[in-house]
Amino acid sequence: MGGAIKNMKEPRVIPFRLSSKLSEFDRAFNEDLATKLQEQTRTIISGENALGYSHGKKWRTRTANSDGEANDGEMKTHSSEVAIPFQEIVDNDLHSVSRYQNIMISGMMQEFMSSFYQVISDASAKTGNVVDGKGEGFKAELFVEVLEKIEFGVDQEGKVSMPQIHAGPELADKIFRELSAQGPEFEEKVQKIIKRKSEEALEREEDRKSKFPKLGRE
Amino acid sequence: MRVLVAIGCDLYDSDELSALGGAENDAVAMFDLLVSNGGELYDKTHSVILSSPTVAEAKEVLTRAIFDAGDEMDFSLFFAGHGCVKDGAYFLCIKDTNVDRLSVSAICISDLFMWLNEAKVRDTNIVIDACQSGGIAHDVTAFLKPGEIGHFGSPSVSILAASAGDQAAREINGQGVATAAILKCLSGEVIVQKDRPSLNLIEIGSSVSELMGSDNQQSPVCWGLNLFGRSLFSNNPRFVGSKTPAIGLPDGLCRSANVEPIIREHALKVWELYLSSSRYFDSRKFLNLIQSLLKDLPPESTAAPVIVDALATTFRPLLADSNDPFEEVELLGASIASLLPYSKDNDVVINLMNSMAEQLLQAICSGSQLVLDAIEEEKFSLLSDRTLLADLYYLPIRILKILGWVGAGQYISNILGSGHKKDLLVRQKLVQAILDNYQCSIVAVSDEQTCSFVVFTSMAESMNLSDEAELIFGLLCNTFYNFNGKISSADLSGSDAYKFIKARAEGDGSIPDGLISKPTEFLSALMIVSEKLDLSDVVDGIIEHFDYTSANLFVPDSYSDFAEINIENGLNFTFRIGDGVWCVKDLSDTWKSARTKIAGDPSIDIPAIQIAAICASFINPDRTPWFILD
Repeated sequence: MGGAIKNMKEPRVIPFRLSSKLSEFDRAFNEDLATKLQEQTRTIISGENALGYSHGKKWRTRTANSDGEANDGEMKTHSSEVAIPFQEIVDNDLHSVSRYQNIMISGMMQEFMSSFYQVISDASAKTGNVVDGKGEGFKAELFVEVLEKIEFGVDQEGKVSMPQIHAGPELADKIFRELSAQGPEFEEKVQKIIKRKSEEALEREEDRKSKFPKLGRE
Repeated sequence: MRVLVAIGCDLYDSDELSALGGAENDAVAMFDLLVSNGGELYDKTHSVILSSPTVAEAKEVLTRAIFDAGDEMDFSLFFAGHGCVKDGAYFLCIKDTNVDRLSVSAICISDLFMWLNEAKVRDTNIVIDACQSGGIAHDVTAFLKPGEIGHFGSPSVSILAASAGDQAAREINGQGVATAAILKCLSGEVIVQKDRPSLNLIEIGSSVSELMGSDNQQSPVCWGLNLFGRSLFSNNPRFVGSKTPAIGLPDGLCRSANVEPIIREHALKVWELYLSSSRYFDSRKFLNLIQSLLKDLPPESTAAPVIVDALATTFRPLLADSNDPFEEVELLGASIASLLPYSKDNDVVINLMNSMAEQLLQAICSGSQLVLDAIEEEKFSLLSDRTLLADLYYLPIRILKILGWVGAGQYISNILGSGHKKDLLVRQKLVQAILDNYQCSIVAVSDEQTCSFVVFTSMAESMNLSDEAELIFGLLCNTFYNFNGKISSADLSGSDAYKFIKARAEGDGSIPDGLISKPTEFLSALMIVSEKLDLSDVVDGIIEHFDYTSANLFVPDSYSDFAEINIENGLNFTFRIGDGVWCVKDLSDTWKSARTKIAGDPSIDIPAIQIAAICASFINPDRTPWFILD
């Protein structure tokens, strides 16, 4: 967070600079901002799936599903800038603290979400997991097709994790209306897919777990 | 014994070091003035002059002068010639110096410091008229790192360098430009001061800086720290008056054997604060450090005023270039406040307090003028240059501090009878400028504003600022009301200040209890000041809003304790709104008792003690000088 006065002659006269206290105030503001930002990102990615690195800007991972192929990734810088008019501070507008914090969080989240979707889009294109609506908008059949293409996951507690839908308000409304308009047959079809996919996910999980050595247990 | 080694080096063997024409002349002139014709100040037997010596000769003479002079030795070095900074160290280049092998063929200032340290030299003065001589600061900084070289043993060092660390030192007509200016001061051609029989290097440095002020190519650097008192570099040919200066402080260093080890023990901490003060001066740390040093002195010691005077004298030039003109004000305020415990029946201390109060008044006046100029040039200039949101908390405190010191200036001016119309006009203009540009920042935020508020409003009439005081009172009263009488404790940490401001924005119900001042002295001040300004009806109109709020007036048993971090002996006059106090008038009995208690300490009748107590409140703003409203 920066709000240093620019366009002023430097060095200029500043009585009672209170430098160390101003730094402490700034640090507390930034820590608060970081906590709030983390809370927001946790609503998208659970803490279990978030990794933190001390070194390097790139990473390479290999997963059981990647057939031995490495997945490379790179850190991206997300930034947000906010201009605070001097007059607001001179007017002692206390709400400016939360206002500018929210603007910064919203700016950072916008960049974060953009990167997030880009990663998903790249991964889907790579595996062919793309369903093309061919410009006809959302249809219930597309939803079934999407479900068929997705592999469900299982969390650390052995529970199947359901897929999420991320959509803008308009599309979300359309999806909701389209799916609600379908009859019980459609509902039954979807439930069957979910059941099958869940069973497949649990089987895969069991298979994965079976690969650990079973010393003394066989 | 005081010894001078003067070295002038015109001749150099190396092609990379050009021959000079004035260095030897400079050394001769300095030696003649200080030793040959300087009376008894320097020892004529042990003082030495060297013209273009080899490194071996120079080292031999220097080490002999430092180590063979015996106990209680004071040392001065004058060097004119080439000098340079390499890898953060400063070297004096001598006749056979090889610039590729400086560490073995030149004199490293770090080595010199080590010799001085080992020989326990008490007072060291170093004058260097050479290029990049301001770079000597690198060596002192390196030297001060404990564990690397050891504790710096000399509590009294003054250095005058002819040029900054990146500048050349020039010669004109066979004489160094800086040396010429120094000689003018030493010979009396330029008056440094007329009050004391001797001159120290710091005050000579200030005069030399003024003399060379218009020289853009060469800015002398002068700094030093003297814990033993004002050091001596030369006699003062312009001294007029008796042998004993008016204040009564001894001229020169404090030589007491039972004081010296105590001063040496604290020297490193003082040096550390001194070096950090060039970036930011922390007046409270300064006051605490002096207090801890003075408390270790033996009870019978009379060294306290000598040490305080020496510290104030050596810290002042350091703060002269600060972009906060009130750092000098707080330095002097802290120095005056530190003398409170030693003021009882001590004319020397009282004289020193009065003398420093005069300097404080000048510093307040010049600081006020600078702040006024800054606001007139840029109306947002009171905002921090580092971060903005923090100023939601700190700007109202900063503004009240300015107003408070303005009031203190008037108070001192009234006491000393040294008021100038011009200064009063600056005070009036500054207050007006603040009201024109920062009215919305006159907000009740913290209990630490109480002292400033009380001092300013008590002096408003004397400054012909009664209307302005009423407006400021109204603004503070209104914001205190808007935030339901909840203001922060004095001296919150920066992170707590953030929590306070955030919670205040959300509604006062969410302010953590630990951050609120309970009881508050600010409410007591609002009530007492309202009577003084004949505005008690304003407070009575809103007082119900502060129901259950606890307020306080602390009065010490003795104002000689008023600068202590925690004042143990004193009485808290505490009251609660809605419990015996329903309007301003109901406070009168409590206020009367507090005034009686104040009057019980006769020392507060002494003007110097009053000034010191006010200064103590500004440095430690968790106390209020209520006597000023009496």
